[in-house]
Amino acid sequence: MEKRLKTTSIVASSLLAGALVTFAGTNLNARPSTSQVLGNGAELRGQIIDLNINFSPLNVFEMKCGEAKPEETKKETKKEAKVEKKEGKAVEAKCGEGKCGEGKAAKTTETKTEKKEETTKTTEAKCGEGKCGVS
Amino acid sequence: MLYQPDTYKIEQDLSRFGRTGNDTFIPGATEEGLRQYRRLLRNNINNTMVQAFPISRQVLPDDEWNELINLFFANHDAKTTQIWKLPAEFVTFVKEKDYATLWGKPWLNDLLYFEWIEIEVYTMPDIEAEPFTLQGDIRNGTIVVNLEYRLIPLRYPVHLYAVEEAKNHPGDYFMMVYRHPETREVLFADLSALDTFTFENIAHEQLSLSDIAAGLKLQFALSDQHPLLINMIAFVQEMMAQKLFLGYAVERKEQF
Repeated sequence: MEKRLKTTSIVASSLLAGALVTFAGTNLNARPSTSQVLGNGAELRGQIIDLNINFSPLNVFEMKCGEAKPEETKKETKKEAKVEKKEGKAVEAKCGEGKCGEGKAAKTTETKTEKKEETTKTTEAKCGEGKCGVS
Repeated sequence: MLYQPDTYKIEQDLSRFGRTGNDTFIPGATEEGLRQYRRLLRNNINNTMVQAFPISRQVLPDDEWNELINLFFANHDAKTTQIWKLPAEFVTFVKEKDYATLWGKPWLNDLLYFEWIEIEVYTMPDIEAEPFTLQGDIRNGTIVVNLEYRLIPLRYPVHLYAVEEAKNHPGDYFMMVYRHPETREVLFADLSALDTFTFENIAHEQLSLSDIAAGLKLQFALSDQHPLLINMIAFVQEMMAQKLFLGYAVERKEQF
């Protein structure tokens, strides 16, 4: 006597029929859509958070293939950061070697003038409102 | 001892102020003290939710997140007395108020539920599985299920995509969340429709894979059940390795 399948399922009958279409033929190795092991909560959460941070329509959860990616990107960013740091240090080192006073002074004066320009701009902007007659 | 009516009123006023921040007068309390008290209370609620829903916190803009917390704190009369269970009520609250539609974030309910379910499975009571053995007939044997699981349907695949992408893929998704019997880790799997159906028939009807394949062949007039069976065997083998299935039922010897 044949045993009966579960009649009330969370899988709608139409959905199941769709999934079974693949099996109507004779393809022995067919898997219509495979289940996917997603790992533990921390792993999955980390992946989903990464996906949301680096959102792009092409980013899909891929546990096995994607595992190395975050590390790679981390390494890359670390490398970048190191390079930036080195550059920063190099600039400082250059400064420290010899005639840094001049360079520094020049730089600071440059930045100061830039700042001054900015401030004048802001005062100009404020100028329109009130005491503009001063300039 | 019964409350004095005045004491009761003060307690109610304090509680109302703590939850809403609306003006109130409480004898003996300073305005600044009350303000700090409310801040601490709200922090507790917010921290609980941030811990329970790290992904939601990340994807929702600050103003929306804060509004959700404020609305929940002000309007929801908690049923539980345990703060760690409050996130479950938060999920229900957000769903009932339908912020997913109001804010144009159709994935919101699924995301909150997906995040809560991990806590629910992690803290669920132990359920002892039937006696099993690791050796058995995968086609015809009765497969023993790890009963510490939740199988949840999702409309949006928030467990597979970034939320903004998930909203472009509405459909029928089945997420299996279960607790590893040895490590007690909560594990996740995305099940296909067919595997979900297979799982349900194994778990609830104790059917063998051959029974399920034969039943499906008959019901959907399939020409051959063999490929179907191969697919089911692959699923069961994989999930046995993952400890969603534990082994094969031990035949009970009847005692006279």
